[in-house]
Amino acid sequence: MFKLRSVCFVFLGCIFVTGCSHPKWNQPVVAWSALAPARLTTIQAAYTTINTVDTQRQQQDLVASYPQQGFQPSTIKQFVADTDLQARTQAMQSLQKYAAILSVLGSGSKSGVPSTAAALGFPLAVPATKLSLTGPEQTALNNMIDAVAINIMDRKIDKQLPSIVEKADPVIQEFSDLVTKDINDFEMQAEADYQLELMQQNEFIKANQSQLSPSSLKTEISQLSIIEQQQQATQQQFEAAKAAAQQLGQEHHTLMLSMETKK
Amino acid sequence: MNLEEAKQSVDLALKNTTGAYWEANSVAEKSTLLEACKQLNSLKQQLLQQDISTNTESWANCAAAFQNQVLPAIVQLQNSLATSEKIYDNIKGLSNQLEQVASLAQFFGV
Repeated sequence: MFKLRSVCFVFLGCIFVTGCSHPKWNQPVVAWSALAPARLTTIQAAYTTINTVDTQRQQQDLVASYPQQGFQPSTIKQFVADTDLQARTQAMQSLQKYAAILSVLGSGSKSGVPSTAAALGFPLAVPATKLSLTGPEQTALNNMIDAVAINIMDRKIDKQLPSIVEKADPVIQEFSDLVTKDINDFEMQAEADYQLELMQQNEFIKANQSQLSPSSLKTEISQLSIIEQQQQATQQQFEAAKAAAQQLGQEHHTLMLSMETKK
Repeated sequence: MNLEEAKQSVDLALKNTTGAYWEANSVAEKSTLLEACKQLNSLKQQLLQQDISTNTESWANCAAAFQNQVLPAIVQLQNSLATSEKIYDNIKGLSNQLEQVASLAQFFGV
């Protein structure tokens, strides 16, 4: 038992020399990386929406031009081509991976619970089968081993993470600007698509109103307000995606500045 | 005229033509304005797609910066922590051995 006590003193000494572990910026890091996936989902949805809206308008064109040109589905083209989407998807996936690792690294120690090691999937306690110790001595030894290990890992994170966040910041600002540029283009295109849909629907009603039953005519007229509602919903979705991109950028920059001041 | 100015100019023309369509009374006039809108939309779509394709290079650079600079740095830190885990395991192994020695010493009354 004398040797065990000596070991305990060595561990206590280690903690004393290295100081108590307390990651200074784990809360803002975890907060940013917790919000990032939802924001990326909102942004990704905008790319799906513009292609859906534009394809829908092209399908309506096909229907309207059927009497003159016949059915030509090969004329339908995706608004954002696959080659253009690929580069954007790669950037989004990389940002997603960065946020996921940042979330794990930022989780740090909490109320004496060694959460960094837990988040990284490390074993936290010495299994009872490995040690013949029982009771308070075993608990004390395990806690001390945990404390030293967590302290070492948190100190490494504290030392290296700010420079990584600093390196990522201009890339994330660029990401945010590029998303905004794309969505500005999407807004312009979607507005024109919906207006053309409304005009074509109006033309259909005017051309066929004398032949439509009152109930069918009502359905076709109602379609005008449905298109308008879809236009508003799409507009709101694009606004949300732009806001998400701007928040991702701004909050990451704030995070970087907070890490710099706490260095 | 640069691409941005061309985009804005066509957008304005399309908005004006759309407005004229809804104000027009005759069927023939509406039909002509609708065709004009389609032509303008086609032109606008080409300009917007050109803009998107131009931005693709910046997107590729952004993805490359993530993959070549940011991700390797953060993954390296993650790997470095995995090394700390090994050290942690070694400490546990050592404490186990020390305890066994202590138990033996106690058994022999040392």
